[in-house]
Amino acid sequence: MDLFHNLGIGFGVALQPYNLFVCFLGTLIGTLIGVLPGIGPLATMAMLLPITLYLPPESALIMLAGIYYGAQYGGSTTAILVNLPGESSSAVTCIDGYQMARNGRAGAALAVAALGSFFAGTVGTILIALFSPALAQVGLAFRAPDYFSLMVLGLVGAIVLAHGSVVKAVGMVFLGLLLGIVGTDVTSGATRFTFGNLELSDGIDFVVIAVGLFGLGEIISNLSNRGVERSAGIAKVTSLWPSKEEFRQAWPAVLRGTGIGSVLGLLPGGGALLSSFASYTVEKKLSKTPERFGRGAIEGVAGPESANNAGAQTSFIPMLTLGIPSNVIMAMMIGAMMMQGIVPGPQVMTERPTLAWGMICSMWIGNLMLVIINLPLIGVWIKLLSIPYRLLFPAIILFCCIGVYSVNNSTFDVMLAAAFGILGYAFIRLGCEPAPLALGFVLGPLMEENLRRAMLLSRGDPMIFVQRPISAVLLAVTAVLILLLVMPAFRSNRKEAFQE
Amino acid sequence: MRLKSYRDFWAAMLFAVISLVFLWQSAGLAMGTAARMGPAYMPRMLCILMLIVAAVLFVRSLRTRDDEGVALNLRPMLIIPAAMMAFALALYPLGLVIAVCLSVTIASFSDKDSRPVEVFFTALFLSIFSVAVFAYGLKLNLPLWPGA
Repeated sequence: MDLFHNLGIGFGVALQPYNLFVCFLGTLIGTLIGVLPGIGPLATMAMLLPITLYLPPESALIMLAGIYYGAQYGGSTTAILVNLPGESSSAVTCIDGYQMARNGRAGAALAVAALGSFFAGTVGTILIALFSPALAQVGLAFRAPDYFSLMVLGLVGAIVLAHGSVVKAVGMVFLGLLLGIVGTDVTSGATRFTFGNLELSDGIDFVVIAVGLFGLGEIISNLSNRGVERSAGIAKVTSLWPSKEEFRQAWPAVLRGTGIGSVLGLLPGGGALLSSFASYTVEKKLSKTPERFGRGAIEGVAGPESANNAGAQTSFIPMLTLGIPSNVIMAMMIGAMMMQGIVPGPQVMTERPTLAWGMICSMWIGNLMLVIINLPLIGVWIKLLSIPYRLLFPAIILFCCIGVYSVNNSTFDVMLAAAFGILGYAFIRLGCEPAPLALGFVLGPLMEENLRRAMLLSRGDPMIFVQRPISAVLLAVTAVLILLLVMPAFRSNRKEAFQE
Repeated sequence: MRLKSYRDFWAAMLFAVISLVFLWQSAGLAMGTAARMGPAYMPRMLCILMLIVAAVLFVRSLRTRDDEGVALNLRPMLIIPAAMMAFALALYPLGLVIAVCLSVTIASFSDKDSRPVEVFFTALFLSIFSVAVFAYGLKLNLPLWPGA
């Protein structure tokens, strides 16, 4: 069986003591930073990315995946214990998780979140191992026009699924694409939009954008409305084990959440956030006692937490097989791969099997580590949460500075990140989601290159995008998404789904 | 005409200004043809699309009501980036230790509850921590002292 052979290669890499160690370290540090209120997985990864630059590629990606899982779990811990979502996908966990904590069931909520995530992660890993090789074969048939259409689909997906105003999301995508092509144009050698600045001729680094928009913007926003901060104190954790009754209620939700997350994670623009919202809605609809939701229903924690992990896992599939990020976290992973000198795309699966499979297997190990190390360490995370924000934020800012600086040893990048911080805060105040911008930013240069190649092939005839079958199908799917967006019924549903 | 949504209006202005700046900056670049696109082709298309978005938002700001204000809290908005600027500017002449102390001190002004004694110890702790972890532990390329 190919599956076992591939998984064998993967575990061979992931179980090497050194890789186990970096996976452990990544999960630990990821949780440590992720627990801090107001710092989501993306900002955590951006801050910690430079640490991985000095590792060999396999270990670097393994550590980064560990950081991601850690950060996501850390975010859930904060959501449950202090009702402060570190990022949007744990906003759902807040609803019932915090109520459970107030009922004295914080331990059970945390345990169910970890075990549900682990189960979902296991299923996600198997799905990746089953479907990636076949999809990578499809990926090899992709030519320039197909890639371009795929990216159009990805961006439209990101717009449809962004919460908040659609028009603003469209604007953010265009702005991201524009920022992505700052620097030297590969084809003509002309420098673009550098304002005469030499440091910009290599383009803007993704870490600068991510730290500025997602990290600093959030910190400034947190500091400007201090009234809501830490309103009700930290819940006490007594027993970590869910009761029999809770267990019986939780496991079907875990199964459903895993299913929902696995499918939604594949969608462009999907991933963790959408999965957890969808799962919460489904659990509430299916429940015989919907009135318990919002008052500490364990299904409301188990479902979304499993769904967001499954979604996070399966969103690796388009990234690994096509080299196209479907959400900002994957954009970060692609950024890390490129820094390691690996060109993302379908060839990674065949040419670097140890890298691809090592990372897939390490995701599962990372999930296992979350259960093993994080549950016993809950006490430590609680201590961390009791440090006042006024002592924490200077440290977070400092880590941002050092993180950004060390990517290129450039102090200019630190100043640029500071400027994006101001912009990020302005975007928050104006109701513009930064995620579509970040996705556009990564896709900008790729899109331009593939558009140029496609148009060169067709001698300037745009019909090439509908004549090639793969491209035509992708554009048809895009058209359906746009139609959905315009339809009034879907619009009201969307509004409802994103209401917190 | 009165504005009904300040958020939409200022978002429209932001998008419009950015796209005009980029259009102006693309002035010296070759446009090329559809088959052989020059460096200005895609950016100009994007600028025009962004201007359309700005126009739509502007129209909406006159028609659709939105009660959220856009008041910016200038204190953290200016002081946090200033703290980062200080770090960036101080790192090379003065080294990591002084840069850390400087940025922590400046950052503390963004919060009106900060206490001088706490700020002092935070700065002390963070400079020791970053020297130990980032300079020695991770061996990042950071100068420690002035003139290094």
